[in-house]
Amino acid sequence: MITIRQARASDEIAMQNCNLTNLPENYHMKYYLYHLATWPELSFVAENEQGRVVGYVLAKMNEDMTEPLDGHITSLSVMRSYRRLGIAERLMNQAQRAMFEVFDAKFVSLHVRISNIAAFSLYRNTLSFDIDHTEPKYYADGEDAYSMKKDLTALYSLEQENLDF
Amino acid sequence: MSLTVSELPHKEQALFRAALKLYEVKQFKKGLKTCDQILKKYSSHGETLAVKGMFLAHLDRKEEAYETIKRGIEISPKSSISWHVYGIVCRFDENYEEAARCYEEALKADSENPTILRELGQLYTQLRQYQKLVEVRSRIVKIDSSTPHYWLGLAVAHQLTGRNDLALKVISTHEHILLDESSPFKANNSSYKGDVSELLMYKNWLMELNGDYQTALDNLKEVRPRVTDVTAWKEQKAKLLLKLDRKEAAASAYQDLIQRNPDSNTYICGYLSCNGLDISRPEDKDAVLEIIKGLQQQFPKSNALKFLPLTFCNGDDFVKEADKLAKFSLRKGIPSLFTSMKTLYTDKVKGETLGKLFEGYSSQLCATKRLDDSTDDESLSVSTWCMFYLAQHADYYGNYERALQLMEAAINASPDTVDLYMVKAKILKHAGDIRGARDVMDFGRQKDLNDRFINTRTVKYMLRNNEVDDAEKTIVLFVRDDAEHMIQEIVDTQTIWYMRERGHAYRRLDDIGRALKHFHQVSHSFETYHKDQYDFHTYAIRKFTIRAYIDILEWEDQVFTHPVYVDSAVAAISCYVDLHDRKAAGSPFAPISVDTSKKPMTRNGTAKSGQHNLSAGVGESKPAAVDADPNGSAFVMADNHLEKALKFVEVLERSVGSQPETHVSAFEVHLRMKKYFLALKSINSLRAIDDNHPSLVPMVVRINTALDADDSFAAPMKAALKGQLTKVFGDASIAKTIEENSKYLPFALAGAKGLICLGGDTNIAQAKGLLVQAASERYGATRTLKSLIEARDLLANVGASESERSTFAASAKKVFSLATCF
Repeated sequence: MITIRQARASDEIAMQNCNLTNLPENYHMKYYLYHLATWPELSFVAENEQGRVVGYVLAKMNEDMTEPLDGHITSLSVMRSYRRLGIAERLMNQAQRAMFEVFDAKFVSLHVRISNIAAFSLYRNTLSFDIDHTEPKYYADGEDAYSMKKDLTALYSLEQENLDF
Repeated sequence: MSLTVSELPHKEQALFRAALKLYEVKQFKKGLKTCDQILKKYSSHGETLAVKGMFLAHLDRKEEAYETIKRGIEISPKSSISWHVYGIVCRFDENYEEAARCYEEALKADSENPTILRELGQLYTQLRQYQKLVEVRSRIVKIDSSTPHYWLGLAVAHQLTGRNDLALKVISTHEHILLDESSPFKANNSSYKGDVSELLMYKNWLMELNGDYQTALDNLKEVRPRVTDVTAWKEQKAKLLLKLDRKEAAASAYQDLIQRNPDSNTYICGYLSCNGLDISRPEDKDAVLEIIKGLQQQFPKSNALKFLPLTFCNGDDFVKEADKLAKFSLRKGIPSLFTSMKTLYTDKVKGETLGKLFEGYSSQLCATKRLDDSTDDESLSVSTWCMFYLAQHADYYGNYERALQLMEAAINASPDTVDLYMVKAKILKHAGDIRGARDVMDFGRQKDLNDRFINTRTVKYMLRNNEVDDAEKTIVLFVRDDAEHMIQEIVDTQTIWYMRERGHAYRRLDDIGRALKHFHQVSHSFETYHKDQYDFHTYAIRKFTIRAYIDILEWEDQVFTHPVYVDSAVAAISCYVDLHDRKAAGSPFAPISVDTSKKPMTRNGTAKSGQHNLSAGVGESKPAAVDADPNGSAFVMADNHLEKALKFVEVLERSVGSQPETHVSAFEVHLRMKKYFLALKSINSLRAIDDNHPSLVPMVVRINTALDADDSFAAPMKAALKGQLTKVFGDASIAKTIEENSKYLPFALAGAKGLICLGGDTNIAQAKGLLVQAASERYGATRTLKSLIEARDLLANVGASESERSTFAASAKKVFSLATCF
């Protein structure tokens, strides 16, 4: 079935297409390139048997230097016809672990529309995010967002690598 | 006057420096005023004129800008600043070749200026002149050998010229500057740890590329404590161990990777290789299956492991594994089950086996509400998903009526499941009922108005049904409310799928102007994608994301091979050729007038949320233009249609040479422009890809005919060309090639098209004859919906009689009984 792997430059048009197909918050190609050229370890795609990208997570570290280094999910989306395979969960798991390992992130945060029950449930129940606060009129159409947060330190620990090989 | 800046009086020197500072902070109006202050006293000071030109360029006064700069350079031809400024302005206009030339001039007078050298490096990278890049970056390192991103940039340049060994050498020589305990780059540098990690991983990769696997492996062990990209390190470990044939250690490494991501096909196949197994070798099947089963036990949730056995198992094993996966998926309600299984259907036996399997479930569920391993009655949805699968199975084999029956049953059982409507619509589309398809898709959309996915699908189906206005009304439901110009927003967000589909819709409506407009918009998006890399030539190196950067360069080299671009380019060429042909035939296409009841939409330029423009700053965003050419008349009224088409041809020939459409399209343009050698080249390129391509012989016949008719083409060259053609193709004849491929509709269609282009009563009659017969039995499965629609359109264009057209339509309807397009 679906394979999960790190995003590469050649995936960007497909990621943009997935984003434009599924979500109203869209970005220029340069923004995708910016993610890959700054935090290449953090973005992942789900690829179907025919080699098509059917889901992606675009992730970064927060750039506000006054705050501790946290991971942030810029965008996550899976094509509707690929539901019930746990793709979103798998993409998020890979991204989160990378945030911790590569950048020492202590937390990961994201925004979700307060009306988006399905997404909220994924983050709250499946992925154990908590609501940190509400951001009024966060979205361009005026809808509020929940800013959700998850503690990564409890999940992962630095493993001891076996160098005897 | 050719006074240098330093020869100006104090006051003017200060003003000049102030002007340069104003440029850096993008205060262009103030900068312009400052220059004018200098020019008041020294009206022909070369360098000030040049700098003034630079400000003019950024204030959109382009012509003046170039004039002023050129004047400045005439006066001070040896001034580095003047040439540098000229280079900046050319670069701003994306004229990179010219910019590079200016920068080289600037260097002559100021050979060690790091800014000029660095910017020139960016230009050479963009132009893919890697040897020159090496030269430029070598000079920078000579001036400053400690700053890491300088020597790192040089290493990258060496790698790009294929000299991994030299890249390694540069790194080995300089790395201590960054790696040492006492490194000056450590303090107050929050990215130090990451920079070090990337340097080490990049170096290790170079060792691997250089073939030094053992050295790389030893090095990998050494550097682990300082590497933060753990995944990359582990992947590299596994890869190198496998390359060194250390199978056991490699297997353990891949195990570790699978643990971290059990859904990676790469890791799983890597693990299999370590056991000496190849998934495609029949003799390995049992061993592979056993290993996969072992992994499945360890990682029961992995989707990849569930599916993999189906790809290599046969016979009873296949049935067993398929049964397992099928039941799991039906019970879970996974909509993409058939899409996954579809890849197996290239194996006829597997396709049939799966059909039987699901039919079995269906009857069992009908009779007993259970499957053979159920402990209780199955939920109703299992049977619904089963019918859903069988409908798609029937659709795959072209049994559209059966497919639709099954979909009806599924929908009756579960009328709110949107997936069902999407697939029903797809089946109707395959069957040739595009109106029905669109209606069903829209019906599904109404069930979930919050979902953009089905909105997107509906818009696409509306466009396929040529409903351009309805599609527009539907897509804007999801465009940001605060975008003042909705349609511009769609273009700005690079919604290439929409622009392409809309272009094709207009083409079918014979609105060539608007069609071209849209294909140009797609092309423009791809040009933007290609230009986007520019800032990263310095950004990525500073950020120490070298491996990702090289990946970006490789992608950009291939960006125009993307199917949406190729399709749009081919369509644009076809539009321009059509415009040319109509004009040449005396009935030029007239642009279709604007619908004046629609208000032109305007928008003030604002920085959009989510857009991250690396070089954007205060004062740089320009207001978006009102749509000055809504019906694409500029494209239509241009008097050099073939030249415009040629631009697309050039991109295709340069970047997409491996695809047949490139050469088929290119031929049309070259032939009409009477560039016979180029046309021959297209034929040869096409032949190299597919020596039995249906378009080949018609192309040969047409070029021969054109050569015969062209008295102005020199006789010896004509003979040479024709000689080459005869040597390869013999006595090419359209009738003969159609006869030799009598079971294949593509040959009949290509032949008919060729005959139509050749013109004349006999040829046209022959073409009509072929087209009327396009749905004959003898063409079997090559009678695809697309081909038959093409035949229908060709018949209409060639002036076939009503009776000829209805004869064809009747026979086409026998093949596609549900089609509404015949």
